[in-house]
Amino acid sequence: MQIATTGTTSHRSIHAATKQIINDVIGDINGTPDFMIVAYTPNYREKEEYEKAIAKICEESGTQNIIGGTFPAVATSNDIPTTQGCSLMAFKSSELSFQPPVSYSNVRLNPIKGAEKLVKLFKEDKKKNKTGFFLTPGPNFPPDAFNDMKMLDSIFAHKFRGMFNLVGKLINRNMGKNGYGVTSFAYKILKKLLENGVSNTLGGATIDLDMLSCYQFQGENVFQNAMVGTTFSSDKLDFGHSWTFDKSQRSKTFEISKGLKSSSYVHTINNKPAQEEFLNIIDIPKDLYEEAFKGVAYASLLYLSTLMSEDQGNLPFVSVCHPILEGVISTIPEEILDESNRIAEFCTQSGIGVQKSAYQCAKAASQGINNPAFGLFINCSNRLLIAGDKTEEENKMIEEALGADVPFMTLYSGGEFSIINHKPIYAAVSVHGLVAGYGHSPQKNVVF
Amino acid sequence: MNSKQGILSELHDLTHLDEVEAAMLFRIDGNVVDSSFKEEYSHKLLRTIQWCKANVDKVSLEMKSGNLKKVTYELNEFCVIFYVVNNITLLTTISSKNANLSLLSIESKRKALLISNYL
Repeated sequence: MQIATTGTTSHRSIHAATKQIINDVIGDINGTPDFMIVAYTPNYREKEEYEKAIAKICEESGTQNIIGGTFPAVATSNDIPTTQGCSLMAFKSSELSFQPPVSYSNVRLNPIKGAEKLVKLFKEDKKKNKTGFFLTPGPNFPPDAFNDMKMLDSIFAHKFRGMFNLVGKLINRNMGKNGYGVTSFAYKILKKLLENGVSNTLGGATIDLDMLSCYQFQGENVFQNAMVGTTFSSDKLDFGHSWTFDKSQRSKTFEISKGLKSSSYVHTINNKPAQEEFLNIIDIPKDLYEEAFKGVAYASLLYLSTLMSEDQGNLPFVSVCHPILEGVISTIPEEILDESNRIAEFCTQSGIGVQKSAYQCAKAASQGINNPAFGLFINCSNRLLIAGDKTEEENKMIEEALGADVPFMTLYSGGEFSIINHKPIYAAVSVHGLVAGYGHSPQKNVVF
Repeated sequence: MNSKQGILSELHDLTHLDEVEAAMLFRIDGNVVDSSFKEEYSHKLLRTIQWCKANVDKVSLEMKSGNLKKVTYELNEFCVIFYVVNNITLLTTISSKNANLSLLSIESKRKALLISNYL
């Protein structure tokens, strides 16, 4: 029996896209869905538009058990990706339970409180198998962001690093309050969940690649800086998790020598000024780089590297350069940087590598599951840009791993997070997956 | 929705995207099946459209012989993406040169597929 149904529609009008998705997905499910995940692309812009659309879905479906958000592209197993529309996954099953979704606004400033809401859901759920799913706001760098960060380059910040860490923290907090900054707060959520015995969960950050606005949905509410989440549980279904990234092409290593702890801001690489050395390592002449990026306030150079973490193995992170800044912004939470040897390695991503890693992720997540019922994938939006119109192929690889007719949804995110077997994974340019299904049936294991 | 309305609606969807200036469905002989433009358009855009119309036969021949599904040209201030819809039609999307071509090619591919369902 089908547990989940999915669909993707595209239209210039959010109302037309919503009407179509209700017709396609909710119309397909027999009765009121137990739970839904809805994802819109960010091109509709206005919060009010999303509010109306979500309210319509709630009204037509008869349930408020919805979470979702905005992502640069959305895709489902039965349709090709769109950058101008929405995807919906609706669940209905007596074998699968969902806790009423929770939300916590201003999660950038107080991630622990947000995590506590999720912890409560996990504790209330008494089923044998359970996992979580949450969405957060993603990185956002409006034009002023880099200017605001210039004081991180000051002599004061370099000479009095210890003292300036506090100032860096304040800047970071201020950036968070304004709704921009990196997503390292999500690592604090993962840590809090772990402390409370959560063994598995999947998370992702909403993002708008134009850096204008991203939203999160819970019930009829539409938020801009909130965490939304729920738990899935079952006595019959198993949940498998996995994550990976394209590890096939590695190049030079570099040392993250000095940085400000609290702001993810790196002052020196290989003991030389960070931006200068960064460009040097990747062989981009400074004049070419400045010509490409100087004229556009919000554009930046973004590069993937990995850092060896004792706890989590090779973790991919993104480094962001901007001509205004002498340093480099890195998406590594300070806790991970502290426990690493600070030696990073560049990783070049390829279209083929992206497809293969999606297959590996889906295959590993479905390991031990005989009969997959549905899948949920959080896939980095940078991978989306690498794949371009071959993104469809990536989803075909997922289908190959899970089997035909297994419904799944892929959300292209601004940060991917998981807890897998009690280990936190906070990564960039990666794919994280959750596959639910029936494991080995008890009858098969009975020995007469 | 009949096929003409359906095709036009898909083209309107494309021109509704911030960076897309025009979307046209060409027959490979250069005839326009249907088109959609942003409300305000420049002479430079019209010149680019003229270029597309004059060259669509050569482009389609090249695409057929090379078994290409998509080709991209950068012309003046614009970027032109030709996408194969079927044996006799091409979807042409004209965007600003700063457009995110990865995202745009995803949507062009989707629209080419949806349009082929109407033909």
